[in-house]
This record gives sequence, C-alpha cells and structure tokens, in this order.
Amino acid sequence: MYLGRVIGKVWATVKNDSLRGQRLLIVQPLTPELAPAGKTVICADCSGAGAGETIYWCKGKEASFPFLPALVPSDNTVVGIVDLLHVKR
Amino acid sequence: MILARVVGTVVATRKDPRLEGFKLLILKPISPEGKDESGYVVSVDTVGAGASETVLAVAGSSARMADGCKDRPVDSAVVAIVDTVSLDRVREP
Amino acid sequence: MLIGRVIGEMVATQKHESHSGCKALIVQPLQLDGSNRGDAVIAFDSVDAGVGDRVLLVTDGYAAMTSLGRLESPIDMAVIGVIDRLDFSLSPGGTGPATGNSVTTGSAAADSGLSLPLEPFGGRGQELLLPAVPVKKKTGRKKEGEN
Repeated sequence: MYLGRVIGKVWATVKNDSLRGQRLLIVQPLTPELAPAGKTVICADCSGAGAGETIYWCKGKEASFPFLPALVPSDNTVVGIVDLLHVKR
Repeated sequence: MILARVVGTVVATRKDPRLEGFKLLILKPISPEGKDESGYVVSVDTVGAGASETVLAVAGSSARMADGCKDRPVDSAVVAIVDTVSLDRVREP
Repeated sequence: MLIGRVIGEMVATQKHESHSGCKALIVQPLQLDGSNRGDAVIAFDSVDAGVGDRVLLVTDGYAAMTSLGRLESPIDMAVIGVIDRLDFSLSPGGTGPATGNSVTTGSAAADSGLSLPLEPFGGRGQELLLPAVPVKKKTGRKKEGEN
C-alpha cells in the first residue's frame, strides 16, 4: 500500500456502467515524511475520505476487492484514512 | 520471465512458515548479452540453482504456479537454469 | 520479493474492515548497496518485525493476502520474513560472498552498505512505540520524526 493525500475529485457522466456510483479521487502519492512522491493517480474510494486527508491506497487487482461482489474495474483504491505515522529513518 | 544471475542468498529464520525449506536467492537481472541490468530481486529457488548460475525467474502471481509454490506467499520464483542463450545476428541494412 | 528496512508504523482507525487487526509498517525498499530503492511503502506485518529490522517484502497482492490469511482483501504488500543475513557478491566472476557480521545498534548511520549486519533475535528499534492517540477529526494526522 502507498501513502497519499486526497487533492481533488473526478466527475464523469459518461463512463463504464461498472463505475456507476463510484467516488473517484485524485490522490497525490506521498513519502512517509508527507512530501510529494511522483505523479498523481486517480483512485476509487471505499473509505469515505475527504479533501486534504492523508490516506493509504492499494494498487493492482486487489484494488477491486473492496467492492465485491460487484465487479468494479479499479486498479487503485483508497482503503483507509491515516491517523498517525511514526517514522524513524 | 527475466534472465538473471544468482549473486547471493538471503538467510531469514523468522519468516512465514510456508517459506520453510526454500532457499531464497538474490538475483541480478541481465540482458541477453550477459550484461548486468539495474535492480535485483529476491526469489525462491525451485530448481537448485547455485551461485553465479544464469537462471530464468518468473514474477507476479505466476510464480505461485511453479511446482511446490502453490498457496505460498511468493511473488518471484527461479524456474529454470539456463544452458545457452542464442541471439539472432542482426543484419545491418 | 525485495529487501527493505522497517522505518516506522502507521495507525489508521477508519479503513477497510478486512484490515482490522493488521499491523501496518512503513517499509523502505533497499538496493543491494543499502541505498533507497524508490519511495517507502506501507506493508502489513506477518512476522512481528520491528522498526529498524531488515525484512523481506512481498509485492504481489495474492502472496501478501496469503501470508496474512486474508483473501479477497485489498492488500498488495506484506512483510514475510526478517532477514538475518545477506551473502552476496556483485563481481562478475563471483569471487566469494560478502557477509555481514557486525552487530547493529539500530542506528541507520551504522549501515556499511553491502554487508548488512546480523541483528540479534527479537531486536526492536531503539524507539519506543508511541501510545495510541485518540482519533482526531479531519486534520488529525501527526507525523513523529526522529533523529
């Protein structure tokens, strides 16, 4: 899983039926020190995260599991909201 | 699959019990010409490869299809020891 | 699998229900020379690793889920082993293994690169785990830095 911050939302009226009703968030990946780490990604959401929240998200086929039994074609999904990071480099 | 050479081993006594009995090899990817490429991967050994051997390693979910790897938490497995690599000679135009 | 170092822990109360009870570690994947390989990631722990440990990190989702016994869960990385020792040599001829045999104090500054030190069993990072803090609203993220 990767750390990130929600920086926006995507709205799309015309889309695949299996994405109907899905929240699509724009996420900026972060390092544990909360610095930007690469390009933004668009994630589906199963955690109810709001704008500006630090979250963690997962990639790959596993990203479609939170929506089972519905088959949602998501390859990035926000799976949780971070409360605390304890980092010691 | 990637071509790689065995550069070392990992010893880990505290690990998932389903990895018991498997050797963990450190592999350095190589190009078909034999030159080192960047990066490395740690793979379970399913064929008894030794140090400095050139091997084929498979990554991702397919690694679990290697013999003996079913239902084990592996994402990379050595599946063959390479005898020869032959590259077609490119004809200059 | 990759080699990584546990550099911290993450706490999240609001998360997917299949993640409850999982310990989330912040792991920095490493190159063979000990330098960082990309950015740090969040991986769930299946072997009780502590901060400062060198670990084996699996990056395939199904392997990660299998190691934690949680299938059909959105987990794509897990720590599946604590590394005692690495034996390797990058020279083409393979002139023999470079082994690590110094004891670490848990400090990153003690890293010598190629030869990663043997760590005592049950070793934990020097840092004490912070007690759980109550869930804060919206801007409740807190980062604890340590130097």
